[in-house]
Amino acid sequence: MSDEKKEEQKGIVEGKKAPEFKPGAGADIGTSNIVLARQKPDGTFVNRFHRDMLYPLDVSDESNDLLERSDYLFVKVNDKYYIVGEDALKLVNAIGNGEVVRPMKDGILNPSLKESSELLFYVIKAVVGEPVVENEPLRFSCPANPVDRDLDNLFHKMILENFFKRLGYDVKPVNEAMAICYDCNPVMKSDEGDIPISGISCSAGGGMWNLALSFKGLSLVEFSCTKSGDHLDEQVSKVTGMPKSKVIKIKEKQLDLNNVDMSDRVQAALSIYYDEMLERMVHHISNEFKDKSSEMDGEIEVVVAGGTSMAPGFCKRLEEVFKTSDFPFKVYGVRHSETPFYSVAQGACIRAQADYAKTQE
Amino acid sequence: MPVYRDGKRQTENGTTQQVNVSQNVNVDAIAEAVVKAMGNMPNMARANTGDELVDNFNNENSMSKLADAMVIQRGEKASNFDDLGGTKETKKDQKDVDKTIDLLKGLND
Repeated sequence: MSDEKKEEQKGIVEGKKAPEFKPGAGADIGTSNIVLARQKPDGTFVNRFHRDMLYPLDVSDESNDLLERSDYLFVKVNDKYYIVGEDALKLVNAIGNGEVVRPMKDGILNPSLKESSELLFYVIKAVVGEPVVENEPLRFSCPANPVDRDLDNLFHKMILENFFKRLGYDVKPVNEAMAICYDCNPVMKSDEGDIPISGISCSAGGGMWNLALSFKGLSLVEFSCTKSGDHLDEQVSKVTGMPKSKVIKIKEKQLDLNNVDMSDRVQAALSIYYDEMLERMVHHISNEFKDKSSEMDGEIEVVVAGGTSMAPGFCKRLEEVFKTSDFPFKVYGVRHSETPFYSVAQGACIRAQADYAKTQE
Repeated sequence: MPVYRDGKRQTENGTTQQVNVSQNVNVDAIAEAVVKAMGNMPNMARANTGDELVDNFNNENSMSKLADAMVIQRGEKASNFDDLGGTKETKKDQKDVDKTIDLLKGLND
């Protein structure tokens, strides 16, 4: 493939070529996936995504032969191959031995895996590509510090900032829940009329929930809680004796929270633990946001995205918990993102476009 | 894991090998070499000099330098890909997006 063709594919603009993308990129560097969002001039968002996994394989005649005969994507470092992304998962299942390496843990860089962090940067570089204009603004998602665990995101934030700077971007972090707010635009209903980008936004991920309360695009409170989807899988696996992989399969393929098959003990347990998780989250939200009720003079909307929110009926259950709990605001509705998997990256992209627009004034 | 007995390394068949351990380790020289090797790290503390550790990596400036040192790609890497990832296109109401951008560009962050 020619260099020109490669650049066209990535939307890289040089010389007289018309830009394929608007300046301003959004990156969601998650525990499970990396998503990069850009927007075309016609308004279409293009989301590039890649699984955040690696599988190490020693260099040998057998591994050379395997990689020559297959189309697995890999990086070779010294005496090891690292199979990347979805291929890492396919290969570990095919070999039935070893484990995939996750460079991220609980929403931040896995501190115990230095080498895989370096490889993560290599992979991010291949997903993100080069800036479309000099010093293009890029926003990357960053979790808030959790209220229920001693975890600091400063190191994660600084490392990623430095990495994107090296790629030539003008980079800033954006809170994960606020990115969803920019993408989904919750509306507050007040006596003055509808107020945009005002309400609660939730990112229900595998490792944690990120939550924010915003008013006219300004973040009033941000926080996160651990024990999200992965915790739910573990608990159900423990109480039913079913392997976690099967619990995940049932959760993703069969569970409908509108109509739970209570004769299936895994679905019944999932339903119970979903309720427990939603009640716990609403309890945390009440605690963290209670001092802000005077600033939110109206009925608010809650917008939700993230992998843990994908079960049918999730938003309806969450709405019921809001209604029955002692909550500091009136909630008139819970809305699911139209693109829950891409919402964080798209919101970060919108924020980066606003950064770019500011530089052009 | 090698087994040592009476200062000698014991091999798998039970025989022993003499291991010479120098008692005159030059700690200063090692410290000097480490500092030299990690020259881009901020304010390294030096052994046996009495210098105080002036940076405990709890401020943004030193964290940034540490991060910078960490993203240096060590060793040669070769891959069989130039770019990665599947793509998914989505559409939104552009008027809504433009309104959000207008509002956000007025905010400081």
